[in-house]
Order: sequence, then C-alpha cells, then structure tokens
Amino acid sequence: MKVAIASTGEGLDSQASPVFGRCSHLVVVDVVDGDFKNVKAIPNPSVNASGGAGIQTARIVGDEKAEAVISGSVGPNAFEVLNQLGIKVYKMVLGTVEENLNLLSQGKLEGSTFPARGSGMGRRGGQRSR
Amino acid sequence: MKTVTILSGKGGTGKSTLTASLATLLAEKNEIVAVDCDADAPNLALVLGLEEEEFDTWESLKTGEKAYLSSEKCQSRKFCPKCHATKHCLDSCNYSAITWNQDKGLPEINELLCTGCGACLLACPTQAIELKKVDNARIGVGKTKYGFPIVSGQLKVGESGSGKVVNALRNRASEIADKINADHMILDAAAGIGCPVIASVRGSDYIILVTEPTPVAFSDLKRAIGLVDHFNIPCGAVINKWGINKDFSYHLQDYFQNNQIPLLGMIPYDIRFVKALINLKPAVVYEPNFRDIFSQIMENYLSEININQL
Amino acid sequence: MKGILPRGSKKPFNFDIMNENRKTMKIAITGGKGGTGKSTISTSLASELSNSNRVMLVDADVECPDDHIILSTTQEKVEDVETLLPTFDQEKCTQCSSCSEACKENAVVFVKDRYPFIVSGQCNGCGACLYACPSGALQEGKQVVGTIYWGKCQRANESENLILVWGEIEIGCENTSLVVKSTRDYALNLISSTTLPDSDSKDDLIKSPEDSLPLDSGFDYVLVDTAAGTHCNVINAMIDVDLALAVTEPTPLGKHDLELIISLLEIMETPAQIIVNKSDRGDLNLIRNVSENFNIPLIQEIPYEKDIMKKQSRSQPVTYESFKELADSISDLHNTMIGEGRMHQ
Repeated sequence: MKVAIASTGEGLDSQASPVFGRCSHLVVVDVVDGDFKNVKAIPNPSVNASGGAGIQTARIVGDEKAEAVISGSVGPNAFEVLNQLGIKVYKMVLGTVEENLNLLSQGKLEGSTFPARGSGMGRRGGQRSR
Repeated sequence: MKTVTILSGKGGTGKSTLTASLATLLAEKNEIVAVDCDADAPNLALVLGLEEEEFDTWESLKTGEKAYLSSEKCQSRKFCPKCHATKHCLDSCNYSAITWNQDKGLPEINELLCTGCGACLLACPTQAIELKKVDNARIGVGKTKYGFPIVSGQLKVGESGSGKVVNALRNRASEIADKINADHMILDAAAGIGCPVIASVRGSDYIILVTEPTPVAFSDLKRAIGLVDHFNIPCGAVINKWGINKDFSYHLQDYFQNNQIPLLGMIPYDIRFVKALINLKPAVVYEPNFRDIFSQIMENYLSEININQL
Repeated sequence: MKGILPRGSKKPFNFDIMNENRKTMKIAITGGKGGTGKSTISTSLASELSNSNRVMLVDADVECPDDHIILSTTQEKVEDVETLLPTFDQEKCTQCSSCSEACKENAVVFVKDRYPFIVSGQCNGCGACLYACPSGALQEGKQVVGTIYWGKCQRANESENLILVWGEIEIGCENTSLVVKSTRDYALNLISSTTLPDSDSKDDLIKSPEDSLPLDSGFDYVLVDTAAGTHCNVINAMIDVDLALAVTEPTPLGKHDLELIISLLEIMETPAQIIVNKSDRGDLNLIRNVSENFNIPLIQEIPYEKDIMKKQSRSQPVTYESFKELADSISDLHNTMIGEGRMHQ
C-alpha cells in the first residue's frame, strides 16, 4: 500500500506534521509486509500558498497515487478531495514518520472521518443545541 | 508551536483587548508572535501601543489581480452596441463589474467590483483583456514594548482579497515564529465569519470565542461556533462585559456547558478598559488589577491545549 | 464611481436613481470598526423615521445579521441566493486540465489520469473554468450560498411603516459580496414598484412583501446597515447610496478605522457624515480632528447611556433623545435634497 505522510522534513526520522495543507513535505512510502520501500520526499509547494493549500496538497497525494494519508488536522476542503479520490485518512500521533507508519502497519492508527454536519453541504454546523 | 485564534462574529466584543492582554501575559514566559488578521481595519498594534511609523518594516503585497481592457484590441465597437452577443465580457462577469459605456462604445471595468477571477479574459474573443497584479496591501512587522513581535496588515482602501492578505500575514508570522522558535502564535480575527475570518480560523489549533451577554452577540457567536465546527477545531469561550446583563450571562454559561465549550473566563464591564485603549496600553499593563482576570484565561487556555493534546 | 475626488469636494446628490413618485433617500450606515453601534443606530433611526415616513431597513451584514433580533421582526424567507457551480460531463471531457488551470481559487481538482472535479466549498462561482474548457464538458449548475429574508415589526407600539430585508450567508461560505449584492438588489427592486422581482419561480407558500404591502406608496427612506470593515462586502452594500453615515467611537481605534472608511467613501464619491457613539467615553477631539481634516460634518454625538446597553442586552430598540435629533437632521437633509432636486428640474 502506498502511503503519504504529512511531514515536517524529508525522511522517515522527520516529525509527522500536525497540519496537512501547509506541511513542509509529503513523505511517500510503499508499505510492503511491514517494510517501508521507495521512500520519497516531496516538498510541498503549497506551504506558503495564498489559498486552497489543502486542496493542492491533496492533489499531490492523488498524483502520487497514494491510497492512504497520515496527517494531523485535515481541513474540510482537503478532506473532500481525498474522499473523492478514494484516499483514506489516518490521524497522526506525535512522533516521527516512521513511528506513525509502524502504528499504521499494526492497525493502531485511528481513521479520520470528518463529522457530518448540519444539512447538505457540510455547512450550517447545526449540531449544537440552542 | 500552537496557533490560537481570537474570534467573535460580532465586532466590538473585545477581541483586540483580549488578544493584547493575553499576548502580553503569555510573552512573560513564552516566545510568541501576535498577528492582526483584520486587514480591513487593523487595531491590534494600536492597542499594544505601536503606531504605524514605529513598525520596523512595511512591505507591499500583491495578492490580488484585476482585469484591464485594452481599448485598441477590443472589437466590441464594430458590432451593434445593442447586441449583447458580442459583448462577451459583460455576460461573463458574475460580479457585475463590467458595464457598457454608451459614450465610449466600450465595456468598462469597475475596479472596485473586479475580483480578478479571469472569466472575462477567457470569454473575450479578441484577447483585449489582461490580468495585472495589483499592489493591494501592506504587511508590517514590528516589535512591541512587551517583548514580542507583531505582524499586521493593511488592505488598501477599495481593494479586495482580504482572505489572501490574511494568508500572507500568517506566512510572514510563521517565518518569524520559526526564527524565534515561538511557542504560540496568537491571531486576532476580523469581525464576521467571511473570507478573512475563515483564513484566520483555517489551520488554527485552538479558538477562543469572545462574546458579550446580549442577544445580538449571542446570535453572532452561534454563527462563529458554526464556523469553528465546520473546521472541527477545539474552542473555549470568554464572556466580556458580563455585568451588563447578568441574567443573560448565566444563559450564556448554560449554553456553553450544554455544548461542551469550556468557559475560559469572564471579564467585567469597566470604563478602565476604554481608558486603557485611549492610553494605547494593554488592559493588564494600564490596570495591573486586571492581571488576575487575564491570567486565569491564559491558564485555562494553556490547560485546554494540554487536555486536547495539541 | 471612478477616480478620487480631492478632499472636501462632494458629488451633488444623485436624483436620477430616485423613485418617480416618492423621493427615496438611500442611506448607508457604516463605520469601519466593529461594535461602534451601526446596528443600534440603524434600527433606532429606522424606528424614529418610520413615525412619519415609510422606511425600509436593509441589513447588509450578511455574515452576522442582527437587526431582526433588535427589532424582533417576523421572519419570512424570500429566496435563496445561488451562485454558479460548474458540473462536469465526463463523456465530453478530454482530461486536458484547462479548467483546473483557469481556476484562481484552486477549486477545480485535476489529478493525472482522472476526471476533474470541483470542491464546492472553495468555488466562488466566477465561471472561468466554463470559458476555459475547449470541449464543452462543463455546464452551469447552482449552489446555494445564502438566503434573503424580510420581516416587519411585531410590537404593537411600532409603526407598520417599517420593513426589514436582510441576507444571511451560509456558514463556511466565503462569497459574502454576492449575498450582499443580491440582498441589496432585491431590496432596491422592491422600492421601484415597476420592476418587482420575478414571482413565477417562487414557492407559493412564501409570503413575500409584494403580497402584503401597498408598495405603490413607495418608500421615503432605505437604510442600509453594513458590516464592519472596508472590503468588498461593505463596498457592495454602499453602491449608489445618497449618503453614508460613518458611525465611530472616540477612541484611537475608532479614529483609525473612521479614516479608512472615509477614504473609501471618497473613492466611491459618496457624501458622508460622521456620528460619534458613546461620545462621552473617550476623547471626542480625536473624531473632531478627523471631521476637520476630511471636511466631513460630525452631525450627531450620542452619549453613552446605561439604558442603551441595557435595552440592547434585552433586544429592545433604543428610543433616546439623540436618535430623535438624528432622525430630524436626516429628514431636514432629505427635504433639502428634494427641494434642490426640484430646482434642478
């Protein structure tokens, strides 16, 4: 399985990034039977983008044909793109890229689902009481 | 580093007052960067006693584009001025920024309404329109008397694109934060819940909601909470001017409790807050008696960050 | 709307946009800084004026509309505000990526070897992608970005001469200026009784002002309550008004933002006047200096009254001597305008 991890640096020993759209690098790894192969770091051109950073970052993940993403918070727009592309999102834990990959291989990373909100298009945020 | 945004929906509820005092207290033991994300009407620097000319640097920013028409290339006057089919640019603009100037026999682009989307450019059969970058804002970086840097922006009057200016401000602040290895970045959002506010909230680790005990502020607060929920960001609340309507303050407290929004603190209504503003000093500096109120809010914020493992 | 007038020179009031039968005066209430009392003054002024005039109040602060709460009006939906949202026809799509490249908002996502798709939350409905597509694979769809409402006052002692129209943007949507523009256009269509908004597309259940108001009598005043700030949503609210009232407070913050909004009004060539709220809480000279420097009259000082705060905190409109004075000076100005208008004819 090909996995993209939002990272603060280029290697397996870099810290995983708590943000997705403006993470400094995406580390793309082939996870084969618990081994990590073809490690590739892609500098994120959207790190200083003026808008739509999350969408652009999600697009890179799609271009790399990754099947899963590990990241901290993923915004609603980026989440929608990853969803459309059929890419699963896992919530990172504080630690290195490698530690997160190990947890993923062991099935210990929590899958992220964006809470369905209010009516229709994900707006209105209506789940709070009055 | 944690990014915290001060948000309220309604204007004038005390965002800048809270931001200034919170930043001043946080800076006593932490490295912080303060950012005024209200590029329309920036006030945070003033509240911190820093006038525009006291900033270290001001640089111009070109985040916007606008469409310009070349009257030589425009072929519209060759066609019947009544026939809309030939005025492609007019039909293409969804912001009503292009109108027909009968006297000149040419389309006219209203700079105030043009958003630079580029639809007219693509619609024009004779390539008579081009997009040009416009100098639409300035970014200033300064050092406050209280030991921390502030990044502030000023949108040029009549220009649009305040959301993009906020993104640029945050990028500039991140560079500074990296340099000083900051623990907290504190963002003072604009009023409302529109594009500049969305640009402030997006990617924040925590949101502090400021409200006052009035039905109007409450209505706006609920819309602001809707926005925070949209981005799925943890938040806490501060009730400002709580004494002006105690019953409604209790009502707000109930609301926060019922919706699992921690109440970080309550600030009384006091004329000394206005006096602090006029003296261009953060409330905690102007009136040291206010320190306890804001220290409490700060402590609660810090423990919230821990609880949420941010 | 073009060019910057030299300081002090004012455009004569524009009479061509006024209603034939009644001279409708359009006034924007603005101010730059938030929380200076725009909504308080808008609602109170509207109440005062409606004692002897027909008044429409337009709440153009669509991100956080409040006037209906302050006035406790009824609330009827008029229509949705829709914007263009492109849809894709995959059969016609050649995966050329032109649509994605044309989009300045990064809302059209094109991933290698896949069909492009749109992120609705990021799309601002400009339509550039439709023009960019060489193979006609994009069509115009719609998405709802806001709602327009209207209402009237319910309290017995309040005049029936006042109606409120307001817009409300969907939370999370960034297209504020479109909702402001649609709300304003709807309201202005209502006052020119010849061009009522289209009634055929509307749900029968929706009771609109056209059905229940004697519109032929027209309106004397349209008050537009704007949002805080100076950018596109405020600009859209103030287009074509006859007068803008800049509401401020006597603090360095109020002064700073007042100068910004006055600069904007100069660019828009809109006559302006200044109102100072909470005039005794701060240093009034700050605002007097702005008034002198920009040659903009300071027409009303409204002192801080606990009563205002209290009523506000209980959602009651404020009746107060200062607002009566303000209403009087506005109607004097209105009469002068009508007088001058006749002289010009």
